[in-house]
Amino acid sequence: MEKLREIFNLFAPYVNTIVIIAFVYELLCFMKEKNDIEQRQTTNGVHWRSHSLRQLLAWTLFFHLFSFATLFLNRIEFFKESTKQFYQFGLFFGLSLASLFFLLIIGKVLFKRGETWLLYPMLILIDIGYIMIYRLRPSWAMKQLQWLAIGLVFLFFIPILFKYIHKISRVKWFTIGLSIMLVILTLAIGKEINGSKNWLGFGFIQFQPSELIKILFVFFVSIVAAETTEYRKLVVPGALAGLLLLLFVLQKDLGSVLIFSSTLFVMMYAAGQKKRYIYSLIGLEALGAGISYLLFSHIRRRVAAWMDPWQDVLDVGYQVAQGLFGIASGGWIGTGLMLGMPRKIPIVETDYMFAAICEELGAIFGIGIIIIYLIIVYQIIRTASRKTDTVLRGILVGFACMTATQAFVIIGGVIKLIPLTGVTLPFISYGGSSFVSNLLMMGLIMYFTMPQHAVEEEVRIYE
Amino acid sequence: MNRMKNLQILFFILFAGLVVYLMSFLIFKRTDVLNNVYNPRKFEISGKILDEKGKVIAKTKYFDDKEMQETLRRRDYPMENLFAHIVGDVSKSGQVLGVETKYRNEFVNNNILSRLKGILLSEPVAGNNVVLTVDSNVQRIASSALGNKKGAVIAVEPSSGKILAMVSKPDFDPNDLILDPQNNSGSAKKKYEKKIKQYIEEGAFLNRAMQGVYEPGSIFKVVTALAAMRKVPEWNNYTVESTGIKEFIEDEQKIKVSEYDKKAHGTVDMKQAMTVSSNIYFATLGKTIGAKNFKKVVDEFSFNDRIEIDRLKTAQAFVLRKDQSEKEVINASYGQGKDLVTPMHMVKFVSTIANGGYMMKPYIVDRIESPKGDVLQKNLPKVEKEAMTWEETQALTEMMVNVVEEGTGKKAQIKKVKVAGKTGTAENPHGDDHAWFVGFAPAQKPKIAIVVFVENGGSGGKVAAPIAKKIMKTVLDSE
Repeated sequence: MEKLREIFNLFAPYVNTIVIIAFVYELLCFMKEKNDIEQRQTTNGVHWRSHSLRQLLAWTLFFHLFSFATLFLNRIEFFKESTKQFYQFGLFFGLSLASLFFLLIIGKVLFKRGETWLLYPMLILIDIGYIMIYRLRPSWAMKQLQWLAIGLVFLFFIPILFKYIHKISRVKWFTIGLSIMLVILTLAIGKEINGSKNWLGFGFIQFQPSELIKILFVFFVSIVAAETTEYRKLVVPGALAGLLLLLFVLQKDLGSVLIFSSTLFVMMYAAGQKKRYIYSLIGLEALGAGISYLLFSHIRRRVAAWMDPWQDVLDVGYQVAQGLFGIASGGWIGTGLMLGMPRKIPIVETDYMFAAICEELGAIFGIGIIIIYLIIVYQIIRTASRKTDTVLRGILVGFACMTATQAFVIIGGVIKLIPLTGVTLPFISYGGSSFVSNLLMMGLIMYFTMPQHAVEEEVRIYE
Repeated sequence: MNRMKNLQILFFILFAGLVVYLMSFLIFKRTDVLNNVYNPRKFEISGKILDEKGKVIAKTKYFDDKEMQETLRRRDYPMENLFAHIVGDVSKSGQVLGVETKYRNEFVNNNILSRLKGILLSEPVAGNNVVLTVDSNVQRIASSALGNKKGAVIAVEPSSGKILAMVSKPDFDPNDLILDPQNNSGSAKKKYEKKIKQYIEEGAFLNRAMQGVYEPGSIFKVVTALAAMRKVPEWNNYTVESTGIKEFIEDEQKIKVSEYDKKAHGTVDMKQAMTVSSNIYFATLGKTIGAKNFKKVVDEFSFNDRIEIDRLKTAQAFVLRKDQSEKEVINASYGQGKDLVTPMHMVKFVSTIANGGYMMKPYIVDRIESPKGDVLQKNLPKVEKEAMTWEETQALTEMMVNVVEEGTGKKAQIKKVKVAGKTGTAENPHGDDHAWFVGFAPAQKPKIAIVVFVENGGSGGKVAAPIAKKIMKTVLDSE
C-alpha cells in the first residue's frame, strides 16, 4: 500500500497536467464546433449533442476519481486512526460528485436551449475547488457543498422571478437604490475581514453584499446604457454609480472597485456609448487611484508589496512572497496533491487558492484554468454580439465581465502582475457569497440566452 | 460589431498577459525564489558536494532509528571546517549562504526512473551531485598555511577562472549546525544554540574572502601602474625622487605621504618603485593620472561593484566612489585612503594579468552530475572581456617578478620558478596593518593566481608572502 502511494505520487503530477491539457483542448474543439454551426445557422440555442461536451464530462470525472484516490492514499494512515474522518471523506467524495451531477441536470433543464455548455467548464472549476478545499481544510469542504446547494436553490428562482418582471427596465432605480443602501448598511454595521469592511452578518450567516450588488449593478448599467447616449440623461445614473464606487473605496474594498469599474467601462463600450465618456471616466478613476495612493497607507503597502516583496519578506511582502514560494515550488507540473506545503501560504483557501493550485497541481494546470476563464468570457461576448437587444447584450457582457475581471484580478495579484486585492477565484475558492453569486451570474446568462429572449431576428455575427 | 470584437481582443490580451507573466516567472525567477532563505519549504537533499577530484565535501547519512522504526537522515560534512564558507551555514538562521543553500534545488534528482527504482526497491533516492572546482589538497594547504590567523586566501586558475581554493578564518564546522535527529533533548538543543552564538561572536560566519572589505594597501599599486600605462604617455620614463616623506598640496590641503619606515629610495622609475613599494612614487603618479582617469580604469575591474561567483555575490568594493577629489586619488593610488576591496576583487585583477589580459569569470561550481556520473549541467570557462593588452600584462609581470626576486616579496620565492607578486601592508583604523600578498606563478604561463590576506597581520612581505609561497609551491609541485 505504501508503495502504491509512492508510485501514485510519482505519476500524479504528470496525470494532472495531462488532464488539464486534454480538458482545454476538448473545450477549444467544442468552441470551434459551436461557432461553425452558428455561422451556418442564424438561430443559436440549438440543442446539440456534442462529443466534445461528453469528453469534458469524462475528463472531469476522471480528475475527480484520480484526485480523490490520491487524497485517500496519502491520508490512509490518518484514516486508520480516525474512522470518523474516513466516513466524512467517503461522504464528501460521493456528495461532491452528486452535487456536480445535479448542477448539470438542473442547469440543462432550467435553461434549456440556452448557453448550457457553460455548465461543463463550471463543473471542473467547482470540482477543482472541492478537491483543493478538502486538501487544505477538510472541515470546510462540506461547507462548500452547502453553498452549492444554496446556489442550486437560487437557480430555481431565476425563471420564477423573471416571469413576473416582464420589462427589465422597470427595475432600474430599484437596483441602484438597493445597492447603495446595502453598501451604506455594511459601512455602518458591517464587519472588517482581511482589511476590507464588506461583510454583513445576521446570526450565523455571513455574506458579502458586494456579491449581490454585482448582479444588481449589471442590470442597472445595462438598462441605463441602452436607454440613451445623451449626456443629460446619463449624469444622474452615472453619479449614482460613482457614489457606489466611492462607498466601496470607503469600505476599503479595492477589489470591488476594480471589478465594478472595469465592468462599467466594458458595458458602456458594448452598449455603444460615446468613447469620450468612457475615456474620461477611466481618466477620472486613474486620478482617483493616484489620490488614494497618496491618501491611504494600506494602498501604499499593497503597492510596495507588489513592487518588491523581497525587501520585507516577513512583513509587508509576506503574503506575496509566500505565494511565490508556493508557485516556484510546484514548477510546471506541481508536486502532486498533499506533497507540497500550500498551507504555509496565508488565506490559501480563499484568495490565494491559485498559488496552492500551482504548487500542487502545477503551473501548466494553472495556465489551463486561466485559459478556461478566457474561453468562457470570450465566448459569452461572442454570443452577446449576436443579440440585437442592447439590454440583453449588456446583461450578458456584464456578467461575463464581472466573473472574468474577478479571475484576472486575483490571479494577477497572486502572480504579482498587479498589486494584490482581496477577491476570490470564481468557482474554485472557498467562499459562500462569491460562489453563489458567480453561479447565479452564469445561471442568468444561461437564462437570458434561452430562445424566447430572442427579440427580432438574430444578426449574423461580425465575422 | 467591431466593439464586441475589440472587447474579445481586450480580454485575450489580459489573460494572455497572465499566462506569459506566469511562464516568465517560472523560466527566469524560479531558481532564485526557490533558494530564498525565507522559503519555508526546506526539502531534504540527498546529493553530494564533491571537489574536483571527487572527494566528498558534503553528503547525507542515513541511519535506522530502531525506536521509531524509521530511517533517519542528516547531512554530514566529512571534511569539517575545511570548506566551511563554501558549504555555507545550513542552520535555521542561514548566516552564510553557500553552495549547500544556493544549489539546494540542483541536488534534487527528478529522474522518473531513479525515483521509481527507489520506490520499488525501498531505497532512498540518491540525489544529484554538485561538483566544485576546488581541490581539497590545495584547500588544506591554504587552510593550514593561514593557520590560526584571521584572514582569507583565494587561489584561482587564471586560464579558466576556476577557484582552486577559498579559505576564510575564523571558520566553523558545518556539522555543528545540524541538529542530531536522534538526540532531541533540551540539553542538545541548548548546546547547539550556544555553539551558534559562539561562532557569531567570533565572527566565524563572515566569509572574509568574499564579504570582507578592507583597505588594500600597497597591492593596489599594481592597479595604479596599469592606470598610468594607459593615461600617462611617458610612463616608462616617469621618475620620482623619494626622500622618505613628501608633502602634496591639493585644494589648499596638505597631504603627507611617507615611505614605509620613512626610508628614502632616491630617484626611482616604475619598476624600481614597484620593487621597493614606494608610496611617494605612486602617490605622485596618481596625481598625474588624475581622479577621473583613475576611476575609469578602476571601474573596469569591478572595483566599485560586486563580483558574482555563480550564485554567490561578493560585497561591494569602493574605490574613489565616495570621494573623487584629486586629494583622494593621491591616497588611493598607493592603496590608502577611503578605499575598500574584497580579496576576491584583488585575485580577479591579478588573475587577469596572469591570463594575458583576458579576464575570466571566476566560478566555483564545475558541474552537476547524476548519481551515476552523467553530466547534467556543466559550467564552462567564460571570457568576460579583454581587459588588458598583452604589452600591459608583460610590463606588469616584469615588475611583479622583480618584486619577488629583489624587492619586498622575497619570501614568496620558489626555487627554479619565476614568481610574480606584490606585497601590501595596509594601515587601517582597526589595529595593526593588514598583511596582503597577490601574485601568480610561474610568471610565464601561470598555473595559479593567489591572494593572501591576513587581518591585522603586520607586514605583507613577512607574513602574507610566505603563506602564498607555500600554497603556490604545492600547486606547482603537483603538476
